[in-house]
Amino acid sequence: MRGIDRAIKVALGLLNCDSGAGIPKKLTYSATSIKIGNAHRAGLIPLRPLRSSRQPLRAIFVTTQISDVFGGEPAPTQFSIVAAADVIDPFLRGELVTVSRRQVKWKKADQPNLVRLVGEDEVWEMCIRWPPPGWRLFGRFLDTDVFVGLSLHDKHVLGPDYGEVVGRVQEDWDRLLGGVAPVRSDRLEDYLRGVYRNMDDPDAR
Amino acid sequence: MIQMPDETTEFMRDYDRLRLRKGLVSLFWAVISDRRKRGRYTLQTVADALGKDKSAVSRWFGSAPNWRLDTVADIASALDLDLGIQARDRVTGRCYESAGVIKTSGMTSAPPEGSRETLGDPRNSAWSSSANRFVA
Repeated sequence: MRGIDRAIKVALGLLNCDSGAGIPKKLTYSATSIKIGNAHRAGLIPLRPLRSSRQPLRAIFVTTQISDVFGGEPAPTQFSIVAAADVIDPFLRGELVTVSRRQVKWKKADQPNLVRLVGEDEVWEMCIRWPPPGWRLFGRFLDTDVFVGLSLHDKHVLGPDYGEVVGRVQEDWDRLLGGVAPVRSDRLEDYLRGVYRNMDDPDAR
Repeated sequence: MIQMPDETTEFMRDYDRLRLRKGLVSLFWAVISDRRKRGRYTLQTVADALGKDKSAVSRWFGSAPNWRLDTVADIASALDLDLGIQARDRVTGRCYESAGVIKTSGMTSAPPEGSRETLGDPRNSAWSSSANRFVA
């Protein structure tokens, strides 16, 4: 069992601890599994890929309300579950994520899926861009490869000013995960492993 | 009589198409990105090997292109890769290659047959309830 999935199961107590001789094995509570335990205790829910032939390599935790939207309950207008899965599932499977830590006017072909908001304290948006203008899932990284989505918005309604949403993400984080610091780093590798494309790197474009 | 696909079938068909396209894009990007880390290797190198414009190649890796199989083969050749082809029966777990069955169980840690991930209805299965989308 690899990385994130093991950490989630350790955190949730789902691993079989029996060594086979009636002697409990010592489980290793990594820093990641402790943080994931915090997310679980806060009532956050880990998403799974719609289809998976192997365990997820990254994790996304969301509120119950957001997970209901991804599940189509209630189905908001202008929300495509396929388009959402097209962003969420590659992330979970450890596949290609296009990422930027700049906010610029991107050419359509270069628009990243994941953007860190400039001038804010570690607030990221995961961009579901279809049907245009799409939806945005705002949140923070709890650990490497572990994203916590706290606020989901229809871009039609959201408009260009994210100020209020950003404030709410930070408040919700403190309320749900108070005491746990989000990932803060200059190195992209501290946020993501697996396959990603740094759109800020001219050599990657 | 031809049966029209219901909403669930169409939904999963669209999903599976995107998943395959994105999987190929991610595979090739994984190779390119690994080679970039190991030495001087750029998108221009790939574009030159394919005889394509760099901006066109760059666009591939920001989207989910519907490549023809010939294009997939061309990219693999340009990257000097042998592609493996493998299929897994979602229900039985049997794995196949072009030469036949290669393994019947234990190939992956996938969910058991008929499990939640294979059911598909966006409203009452995979994305919709804690029994489906969630780890716990």
